[in-house]
Amino acid sequence: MTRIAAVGAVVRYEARMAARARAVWIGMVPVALLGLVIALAPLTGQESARLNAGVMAEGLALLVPVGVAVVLADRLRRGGATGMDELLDTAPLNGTVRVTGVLGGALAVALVPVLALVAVLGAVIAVRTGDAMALGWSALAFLLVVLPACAWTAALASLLGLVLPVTLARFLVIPLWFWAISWNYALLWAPTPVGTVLVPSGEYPAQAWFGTTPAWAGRGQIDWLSPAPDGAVTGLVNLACVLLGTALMVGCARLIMMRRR
Amino acid sequence: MDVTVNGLTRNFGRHTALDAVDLEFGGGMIGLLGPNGAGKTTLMRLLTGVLRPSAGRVTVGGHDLGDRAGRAAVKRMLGYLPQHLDPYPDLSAREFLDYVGLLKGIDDGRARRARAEELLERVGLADSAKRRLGGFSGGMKRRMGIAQALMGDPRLLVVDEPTVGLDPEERMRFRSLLAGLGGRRTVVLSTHILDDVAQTCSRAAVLVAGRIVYDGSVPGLTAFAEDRTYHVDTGGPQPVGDLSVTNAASTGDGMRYRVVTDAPPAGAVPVAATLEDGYAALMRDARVTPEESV
Repeated sequence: MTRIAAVGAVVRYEARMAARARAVWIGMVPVALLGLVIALAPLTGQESARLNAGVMAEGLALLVPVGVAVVLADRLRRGGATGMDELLDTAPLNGTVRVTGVLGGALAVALVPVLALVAVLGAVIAVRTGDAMALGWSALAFLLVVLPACAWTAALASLLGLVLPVTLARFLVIPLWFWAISWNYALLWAPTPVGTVLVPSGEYPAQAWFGTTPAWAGRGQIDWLSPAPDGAVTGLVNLACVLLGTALMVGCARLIMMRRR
Repeated sequence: MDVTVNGLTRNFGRHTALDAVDLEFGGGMIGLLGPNGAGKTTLMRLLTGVLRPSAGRVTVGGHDLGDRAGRAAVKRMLGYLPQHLDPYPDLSAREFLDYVGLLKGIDDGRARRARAEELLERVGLADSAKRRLGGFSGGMKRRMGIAQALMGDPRLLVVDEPTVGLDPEERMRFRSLLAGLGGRRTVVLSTHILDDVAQTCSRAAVLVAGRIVYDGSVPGLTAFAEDRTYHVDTGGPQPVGDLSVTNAASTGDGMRYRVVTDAPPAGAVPVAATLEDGYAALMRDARVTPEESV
């Protein structure tokens, strides 16, 4: 079995398990509804469908990732106490690949209500701007702005869930998220990725591909980490940093799981 | 499938769970016995590659578990039932076996499903194939555990305390299932239940404080208590002296104690030794000379 096929198998079954876990729906449906309220207000239809899609994705990226984090904080921990991690470690599949699949499958299910919301908002944009391409732009905005942020918080919450009680991890991830994306260091100084290419808020990609006006991007505390948002290059750099950060957290989680035995 | 263990040591901080263990075995069933904390589970985890040794070496079928390629090769021919296993509650029995089959690299979907059905039949869970595992009893989960261990038709099967928590009927069923597996495979069975070893294994190894104190045939272990096992009838109180009581039963007007000793009390009647008596005799000897291997 190729590595991709193996990840696909894990994703499929983890998604099935997440879909049957009531807590995932109980957590994500209200988050999606709240996201509807937040993202709907700025969609005036006065600008292009592309810009509206970017604004909508930025709005969703404020709240949805933190909902995902709260819901998925237990995904890596649950196999430790039940012996499943130990059992699956004797399977030929690489452990890091498995952990990636576990998070990927659960994330896919957690984002189902959000995808439905994106479709609704895309339709609203299409009606208000009179541009049918709004649905495509909305899907692309979800992929480039919302999804990387959600992967980042899912990895962070799962990592915290391994080293802290899950309930505490769920609570802690909320202030951590807002520290990472909107801490105003001019008012109260603290080191934060806000304004740098490390920020997972999606500001750089939203500016690069949808033409939004960033609130913080380019105004971080470290100049060389805070290039002015300038199209695809800074967008790609930011996406790469966010994905690298996600991969690092997944790798750390895997190491912690191995060292616990 | 030959398994060779050389100088295997595993430390957890300052605690040495396994201390320079040497062991060699081939096809058939070997029972791994020992008191709590003797290092049985640590040895099982080292044999399966879940843990890495602090020192020493394990080879399975010529593959060294110390290197990545060796571990990968061994994982392809391994079935494992950990001591504590609570399978995913949100999957059905059939789905769980399919998932494990996928992880074990059984690509052919039809073959995987056929094997899952066969194993569910074999462990007596065919009627529950569609039920979620969260609703299974402890015994049913244990049977699922052995079924998943057999996915992929492993040549080495490592089962840790498989009959803990099973009712007598389930235990008998489990034992006959295990006994039927040993033919062309190597099965390592770790247990506290001596009867399981007596009924299924031809060979036993005994661990005490991280060291092998016995490695040989099951009758050989029983022989430790030969000419040292007695019945002692008393009015009630347990006999005193340098002896180990292996059983006690009320006789109506008193008590009958079964003891293993080199100095039988007055009135003791010699009886034929069982595996339990042999194990008790070995533990007595191990306590007297803990640093010597038998």
